Amino acid sequence: MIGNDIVDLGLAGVLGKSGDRRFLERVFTVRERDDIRLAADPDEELWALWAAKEAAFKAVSRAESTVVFSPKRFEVAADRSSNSSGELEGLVRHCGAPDCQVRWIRTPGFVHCVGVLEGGRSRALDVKTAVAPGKQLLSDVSPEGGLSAAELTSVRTSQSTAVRLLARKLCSENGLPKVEIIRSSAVNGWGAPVAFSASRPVGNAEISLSHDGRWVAAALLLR
Amino acid sequence: MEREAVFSTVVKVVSRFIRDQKLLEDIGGKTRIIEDLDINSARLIDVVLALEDEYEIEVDDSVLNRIGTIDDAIDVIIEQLEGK
Repeated sequence: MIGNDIVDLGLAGVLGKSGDRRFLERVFTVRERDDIRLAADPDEELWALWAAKEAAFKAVSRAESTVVFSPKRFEVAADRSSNSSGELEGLVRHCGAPDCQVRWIRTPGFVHCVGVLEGGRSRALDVKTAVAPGKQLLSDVSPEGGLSAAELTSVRTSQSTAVRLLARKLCSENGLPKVEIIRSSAVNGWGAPVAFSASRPVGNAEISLSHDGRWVAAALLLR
Repeated sequence: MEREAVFSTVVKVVSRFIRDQKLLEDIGGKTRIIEDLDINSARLIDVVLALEDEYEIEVDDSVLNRIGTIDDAIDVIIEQLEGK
């Protein structure tokens, strides 16, 4: 089970959020608030922790549809380490669920996090990810981006189109050409995205989508 | 508390967190806050905090998942107000 989340650090209200005490108390545990306060860049740390919680929630909710996104209950472990690619890795703990392994990309423009939950065996490094500016993906295509009618059902904004184009590209680069990225209607919004090929779900592929401001991000786990 | 009045307040609050005001043109009870209004989940927390201030209520995290649409937000507010 995978999830991913991206935060555009250039959006209004993003920088300076570490001074929003009420938001901090609502979202972060005491220890996480200490991590934010002591960080070299408290805002970037805040959004890195947020993205990890959100990515973990998306991963856990695929396994357990009734899970509630109570941000404090998804706690990002203090221990983090760099992997061979120089990316930071860590864990998100959620009561009653296996730990979710997470991996961050942190740049001046965005923070991206991918999380993977594999029944106790985490493998964040196996997840393929892609991040791009949405406008760049849309510049050479029609307004609908060549998406199918089924894909367009859950598309509301240009960034929704862009993130599906990115997910298609990611699939194509990993041996899954000509897929559709379809989200079915769920009780409160849309269900998790599913890759379809020739009108059938691709059983060995799991997709996660995220967009925020200028950026779109996709994650792919092949089993 | 009249539902229409709550609807107006919810729209007013939500509009403060929407980047593209054009998305408000067709807003209604069935509008999905995250998907249709392009509000991310961090901003949804801000929306909830602002609604708590507006109505002097506390929205428990356990009902956050229920707030998918504008109608859902209205239902939660009315329930909280009736339980006061």
